[in-house]
Amino acid sequence: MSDCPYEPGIAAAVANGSLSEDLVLHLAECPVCSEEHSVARKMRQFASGLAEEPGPPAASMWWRLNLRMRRERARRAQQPLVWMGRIFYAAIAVTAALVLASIPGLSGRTAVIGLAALSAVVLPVAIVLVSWSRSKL
Amino acid sequence: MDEESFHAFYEQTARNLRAYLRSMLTDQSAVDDLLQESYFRLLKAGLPPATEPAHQKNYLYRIATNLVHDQRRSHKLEVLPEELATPSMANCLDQAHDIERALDRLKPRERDVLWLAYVECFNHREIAGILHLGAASIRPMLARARAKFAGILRRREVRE
Repeated sequence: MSDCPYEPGIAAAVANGSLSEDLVLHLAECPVCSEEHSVARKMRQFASGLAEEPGPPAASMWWRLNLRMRRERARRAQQPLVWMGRIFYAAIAVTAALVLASIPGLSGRTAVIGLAALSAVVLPVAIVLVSWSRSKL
Repeated sequence: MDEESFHAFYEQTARNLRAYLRSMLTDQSAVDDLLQESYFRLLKAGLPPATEPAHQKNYLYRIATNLVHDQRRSHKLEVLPEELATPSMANCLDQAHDIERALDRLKPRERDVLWLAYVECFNHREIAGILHLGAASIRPMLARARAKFAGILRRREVRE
């Protein structure tokens, strides 16, 4: 590490491809700056080799990102509906349990069978409701 | 960001960002996924339209660097194995191959610092922001990475 005043400008000079006469003279004298210049040049050379291979075109990237953004928005928007469905099912189950428990003279076994029968009706309804709400998004 | 400004920004940054990812990642098949993920997170961040391109670029590299670090953590591999090198990399000129080998022998953090300083020309403060490090630590880190990299290249030249 040195405090050479030329050091901070070397990377930019290599990037611009324009070394001032002053800097060229300095590089011949200063080993630290000369090393920095050589490393910067090699790194840029290597990077430009890697950058030659074209990546996905901008239009296709924009299309893919937009699709992802739409999906993300839909996922976020349907989150409350998914929770509403869960809460709805839980509320029905609790209510059914309370109703069955409040019927006088009903045995424990009958209550369990009644609850299971109710669940068998409510569960598909809840699933249909959640799928319907998803298909609307 | 609207479509037109995205296109302009993408054309300006994508090639170099992809090269950065190719150089930093051990798993080359993940390059395009991470490229897409970087731009996706940038769009999702919803930077104000008046944000300067330099700031957007800085933010993009911060995202990409975080993704690279996550990838490294999940792969626990720091050196690019021979069989993972893509054919285009293997066919590079000898000098590019030497540079690649030398970079492989650096620590990931040192590679990051060299790339961000000399390829992207970010200043020390920007590099510190991208790597989540203190600004004062960048200068000595860069000097160490540079000396190590130059030393490795010199030794290779002497051997040949």
